[in-house]
Amino acid sequence: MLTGQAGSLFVFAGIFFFVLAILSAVFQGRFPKLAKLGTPALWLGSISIFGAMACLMTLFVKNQFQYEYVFARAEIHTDLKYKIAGVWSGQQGSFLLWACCSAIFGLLALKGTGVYKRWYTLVFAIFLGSLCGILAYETPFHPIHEVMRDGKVFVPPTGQGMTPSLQNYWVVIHPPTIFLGFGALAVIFAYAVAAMLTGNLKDWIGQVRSWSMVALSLLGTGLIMGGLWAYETLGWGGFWMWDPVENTSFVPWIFLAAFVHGMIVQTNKGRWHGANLWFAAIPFLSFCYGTFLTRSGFLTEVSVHSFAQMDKSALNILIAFMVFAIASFTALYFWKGRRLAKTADLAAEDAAGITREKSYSYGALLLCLFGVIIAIGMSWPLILGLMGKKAAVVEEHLYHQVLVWFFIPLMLLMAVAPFISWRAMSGRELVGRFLNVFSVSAGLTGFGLLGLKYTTTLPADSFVAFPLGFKANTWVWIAFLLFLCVFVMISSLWRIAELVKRTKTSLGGFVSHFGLAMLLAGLVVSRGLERHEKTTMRKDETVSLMGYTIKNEGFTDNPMASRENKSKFSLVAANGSKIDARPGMYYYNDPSGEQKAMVWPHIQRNITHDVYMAVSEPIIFAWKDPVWFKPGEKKTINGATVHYRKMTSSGEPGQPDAMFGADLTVGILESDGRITEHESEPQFSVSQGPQLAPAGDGFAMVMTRMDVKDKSVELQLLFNPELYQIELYHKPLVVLVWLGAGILLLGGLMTAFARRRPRNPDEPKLPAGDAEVLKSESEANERELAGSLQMKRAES
Amino acid sequence: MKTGPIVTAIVAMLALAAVVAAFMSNASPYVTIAQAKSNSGTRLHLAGDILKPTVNTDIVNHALTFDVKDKNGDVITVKHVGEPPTNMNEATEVVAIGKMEGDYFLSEKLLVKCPSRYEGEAKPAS
Repeated sequence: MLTGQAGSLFVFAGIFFFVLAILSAVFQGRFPKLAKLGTPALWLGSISIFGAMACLMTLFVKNQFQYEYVFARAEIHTDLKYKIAGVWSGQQGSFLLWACCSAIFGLLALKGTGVYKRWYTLVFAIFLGSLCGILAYETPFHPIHEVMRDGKVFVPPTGQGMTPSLQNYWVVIHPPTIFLGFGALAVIFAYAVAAMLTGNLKDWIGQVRSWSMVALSLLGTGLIMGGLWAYETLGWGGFWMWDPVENTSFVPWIFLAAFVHGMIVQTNKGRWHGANLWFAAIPFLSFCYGTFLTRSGFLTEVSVHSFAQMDKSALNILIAFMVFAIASFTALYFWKGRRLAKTADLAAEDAAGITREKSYSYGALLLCLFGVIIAIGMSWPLILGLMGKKAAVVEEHLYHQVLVWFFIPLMLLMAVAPFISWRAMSGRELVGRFLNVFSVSAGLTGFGLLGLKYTTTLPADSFVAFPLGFKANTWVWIAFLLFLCVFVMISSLWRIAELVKRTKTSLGGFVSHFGLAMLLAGLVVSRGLERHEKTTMRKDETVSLMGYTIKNEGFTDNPMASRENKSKFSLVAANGSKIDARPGMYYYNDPSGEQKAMVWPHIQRNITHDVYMAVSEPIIFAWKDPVWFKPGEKKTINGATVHYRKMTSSGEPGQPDAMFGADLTVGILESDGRITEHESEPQFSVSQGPQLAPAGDGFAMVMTRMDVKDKSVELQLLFNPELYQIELYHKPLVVLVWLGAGILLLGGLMTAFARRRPRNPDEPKLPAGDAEVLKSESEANERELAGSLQMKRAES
Repeated sequence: MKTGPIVTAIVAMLALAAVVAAFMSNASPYVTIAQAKSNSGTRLHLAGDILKPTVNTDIVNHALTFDVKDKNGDVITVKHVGEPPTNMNEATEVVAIGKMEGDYFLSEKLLVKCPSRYEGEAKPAS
């Protein structure tokens, strides 16, 4: 029991040290000696959190099933990597992971905080202290009561095991990645608060820049991993469902993107000091809100994705922290921040026409609207509840219908942004600059569509629905959205080509834009031009679905309980090409001892499209449970009327060759409403047990038990051969999702490393001069850009 | 020049208002069985407990059928065509998304709620 107790102890030690750090930060004005205490207290508190994490991991690795949390999430034979994944597969563990990741970034960033150290420490200590408080109630170190026997601890030999759909490599790496991103959000928030409290709204931007890029990359990567996990495991053929858990991670990413752009304006133009405070704070605050929303139980009525309800006291701490953080940040802004920002902001250059600053502000505005709308959408059940109305949810199609009107201008802005300079230019001049790229994009989109038309079988007259009953042809609509993505890709590429010769500093940004547009193109096309059909097939049957002739070929040679086991299907296309589909399917015993099937889809990846096949477990039972019949009895169950007349027998009763039979008639309801009757005589052999008897086309009857005394029998109707439910998706250009995601990550990393600033505050910093350099660099770029364009025009 | 930000703010607020209006009229409602019977919507969310012994595969059209009992105690037969969710076996509560068809509820999509040890649908801690 020692490790578990140590874990609990670490949590309480964490609270103690963070309270110490808070006291040091608050009272060091009056008692300067306390200032020395802050850093060690924050370190010790963070180490306590790491200690608690280490304890929990040890419990999992050492199979300490006497703990509720471990018992419910691991088995003795579980692979080590899934035992470790078990640590964060539940609510308590994921809070611990959040605390752990936040502490890591809190310490990493602490060294470079300089003048902001005192208030940064305060914010971080309050935040981590609150998380420790939550963990004190919502503890993963809770032993099972029954394990104490006569004062001794009894360790259960094994636990219940993690739900099979979580036993997937993505689940091992997705949560740590995304939580590291969430951890970095706390750094950015703490800086924003410290900037206001110190009154220095300038320097923090330089110090926080690389952290925000790291956060953006990690969060983005984590989000994409989550999508890929859903695609590969869940069998509904998509990456993103807009459920509250997904949105909770997505909204911070959007505001973080706004912040990353806001920082550029502040560095180059000396403006946006106030807005950047908000952009830095909202990602963290919105994540806290999302955590509250998904864990509070407010959505349990309406969402299947919600976590189990939290411990009441833990939830109260979460709410208290969230309300305190939001309220005090807002108050601080209106008390100090707004005035400071006004004095810090340089005057706007009064320029008519289009400038880069204006394009940034429209971009930021659109991103904010995007984020706010998703936040409203995910809170919709809560909002309706507060208004006393009946619950309703915003679903995928509604998100798409609404968000696309913000997606269109946002993409257009991303596409023309590389051509806009800090100095003002007329709309005419701008159009002249991007016209070439525009034409190339339109041409490429056309080519792309031709290719898609060739590989995609979606009917030409499909429609997408819009609000107010409007409709548009799917091909036209998707072509337009695809064009927007291609436009962004080509203009970013063009800008990359310009920059690569000169400067590397802003290269990463455009690489990210290119990757993001490619990812979006993949999502838009693979969902928008998706074909989806479903059917039921008998095992011995050949069915035709979406142009494929589908046949079942049994199972792979693995044992049915092996995680490697797969069903075998062959899909033959009209042109003779064949897909050997191997959707996963195995049986496992759930904690109650019942045998259950786990299935996962087969994905045939091609360059042009994915063929995605989801197959159910074989359906054997037409009657889920056997039913007792007395002689002469007639019952109708699930469309089948069985009339059991009498028991037959052969052989010597009591001898191994004895056979009992049930003489009966089965009436099967046909699809046209007729009933066809079949004679059937299922038998029960004393030595060999029940024997199947045919009972009409596609059915068999089995006698599972009998009572020789009153001649009653227990019967069950089976599908024979068994049935499969099959869903087939044809998803074009999924490859762009993968490629785009990789390029997006690369761009993020490039920016994070290219923009690393000196961490040591004692080193001379050149915020103003630095900005000048950047500014003159970008002006030089523009001059060259304009020059090269003129040359091109002269050539043509 | 000074009117620019004000115009932008007004346009942004109008856009938000339009979105809220769209959510108001188009969000998919959660309904009880009694409400479902008088609602012609096609994306109704019907939540309730699965009555386990009634889970069957319809012998006529091979749809998954089961009875669901809502919180008012009403019971209705739900038919679901297509592959059931992977963790259907473990489900105690379901949300069937679809519409009324005759005297049963035709489900296009099934969301399942599993016993609390799995904490929500198959979704990792994020």
